[in-house]
Amino acid sequence: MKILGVFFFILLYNPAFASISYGIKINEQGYDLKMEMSFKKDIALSFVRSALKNGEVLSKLGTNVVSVTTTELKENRYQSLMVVKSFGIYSRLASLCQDQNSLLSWSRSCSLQTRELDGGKYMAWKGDEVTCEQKENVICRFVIRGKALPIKILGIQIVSAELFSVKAKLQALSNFFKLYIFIEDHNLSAKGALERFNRSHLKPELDLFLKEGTEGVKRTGNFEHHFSLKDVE
Amino acid sequence: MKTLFLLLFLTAGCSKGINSQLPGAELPKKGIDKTRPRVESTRPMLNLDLEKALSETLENQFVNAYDLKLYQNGESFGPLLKLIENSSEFLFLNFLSFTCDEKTEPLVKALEEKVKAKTDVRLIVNKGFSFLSRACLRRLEQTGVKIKRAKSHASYVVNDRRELMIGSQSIARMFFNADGFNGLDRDMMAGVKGSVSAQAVRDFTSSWLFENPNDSDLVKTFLKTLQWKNESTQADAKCLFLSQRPREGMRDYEKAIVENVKRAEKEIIFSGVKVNARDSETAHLLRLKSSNGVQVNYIGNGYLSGNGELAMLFDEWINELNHSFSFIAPVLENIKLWDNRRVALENKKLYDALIAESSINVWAYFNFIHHKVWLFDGPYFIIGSANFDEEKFSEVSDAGLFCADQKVHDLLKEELLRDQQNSLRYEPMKRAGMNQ
Repeated sequence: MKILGVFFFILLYNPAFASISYGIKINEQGYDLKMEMSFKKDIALSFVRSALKNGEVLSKLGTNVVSVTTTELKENRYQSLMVVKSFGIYSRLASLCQDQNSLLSWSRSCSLQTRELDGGKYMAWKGDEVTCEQKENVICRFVIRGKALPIKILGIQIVSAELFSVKAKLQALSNFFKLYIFIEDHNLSAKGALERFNRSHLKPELDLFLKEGTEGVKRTGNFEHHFSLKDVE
Repeated sequence: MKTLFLLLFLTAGCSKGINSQLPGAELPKKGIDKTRPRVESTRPMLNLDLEKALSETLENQFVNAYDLKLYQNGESFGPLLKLIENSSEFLFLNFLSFTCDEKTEPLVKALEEKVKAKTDVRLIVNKGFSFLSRACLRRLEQTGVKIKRAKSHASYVVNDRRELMIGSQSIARMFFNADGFNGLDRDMMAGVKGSVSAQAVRDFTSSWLFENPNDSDLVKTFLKTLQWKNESTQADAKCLFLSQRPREGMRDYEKAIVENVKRAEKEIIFSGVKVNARDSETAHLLRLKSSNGVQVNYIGNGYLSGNGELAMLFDEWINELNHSFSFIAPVLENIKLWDNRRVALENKKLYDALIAESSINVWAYFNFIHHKVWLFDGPYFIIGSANFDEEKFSEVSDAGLFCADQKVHDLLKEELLRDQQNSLRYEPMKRAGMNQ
């Protein structure tokens, strides 16, 4: 029976299956989001990398990203300038990034330049890393950490840092989910991916995240949440 | 009416005298030379740094390519017909325009036959140009050809036999009746076989889904082509398909040009109908490279080239009128010359902007250049549909083939050098003065 159980566990959790999962912690120290995307076998690393690096695709996917431009710096480093639109306000966020490529892997690490443009208005610090590896299929792991600042108007706090983190990560998760579906659909159609996202189980998950996250941080200042999905439809 | 005729006559008459400062205002001094210069073949020098950069930047990767051939002008007609006839499961065409005329009739009939034989025949055609061939497209649709009208400037056809033809020709008589010297489009296409065709199917599918995201039959066909493995047997060439679909955020065509220009050490030759460099990264790199000793030559159009298909239509009408209402022919001739001047003035501005503070050479061909080719160092080249036009890069979809093949590279260079020898070098006043 035990062997049968192990067999089913391997079958269900075999990373060669397409799946998406994440875990997030939000507290007064900041937030910590870890995510894993496992793609179908016929999705090549070059397509995953292309979609994840392409800021223009994000803007076509109905995310809050308006544009992403990059400027090359020395030694494989570059500056990424992302324009985002949230609650009707445009913000320009500059990050310093570095890519590492090999035949079977791609990784990127970025840190927000809080002293440049609008970065420091919202964040004390932020860093993100993604590593994608081509094994039996392509698996990408993301780690996004940072500390949001409370939103104040005329010195009066309107939104706490924790609640702002929930809202910001809701947007990030929405962007990631749409991108995941786009890649799973072979990068063929942003329009089609958006339609699939709206029909998928991922959309209700975002509603749940927002509800539980808002209640959690309002009640205790802390929030922790995990999610995993195998069949996106 | 008489006044209008007189005005047109005088305007064009005057313009003949004032065109000397325009690019390509005259024939080359030595006259037209049809001989193709010989290029001494060199050992192919692969640029691993370039290939690595491209593999890290582009979606599509190099795959082995077979029977890579270049077809000059009307030479493409026979192979195109054959490619259509060879198809059995599907045939996907993506063209700027599709016209039914006496020359293209065999192609139209072949498409109709394929539909009867249950081949999935689909055509993407430019929305604007489709208006000019409404009757033709209606005929195809009635036969069963599925048609989508899109913002496409591409030119390729691919079938289930892994055969691909790509370049910048449209389906119209002025392309297939051309020989490069007879006043019709100077153009070329590339033919290739192998799994690079699967990359073309991907581009076609993506373009089609943009108009109709729920076409599951097409997606099924696309998924089948994913099984087309990169043939492992020895191939002469390797190629990858370049897509430019700005409305979907796909700009690999543009990226491939940038990566190649960045690494140029000896020579770049490129061509097109129009060049609109603006303040782009490519323009900046081209200027920098040319100033650092890299030979950069652009082959484009001038006053004598006219306004492409419009000028060719004028010529056809003028020819017909000369046999009937011959008194109207000079009026049309003058309208054509007026339009030539208008386009040449526009080109002049664009050329001045391209070559500013650089050593880039611009050559204006005596006929209408329609090919869009980039020739780089080593065995690398691009043949496709995109002009170097920063405005259009963000507006319309384009497609190209990027290959590494020394033999075809040499042949392409010979063709471009022949075009260059039948062009007039554009010398803007300021730079001409500086050189003296």
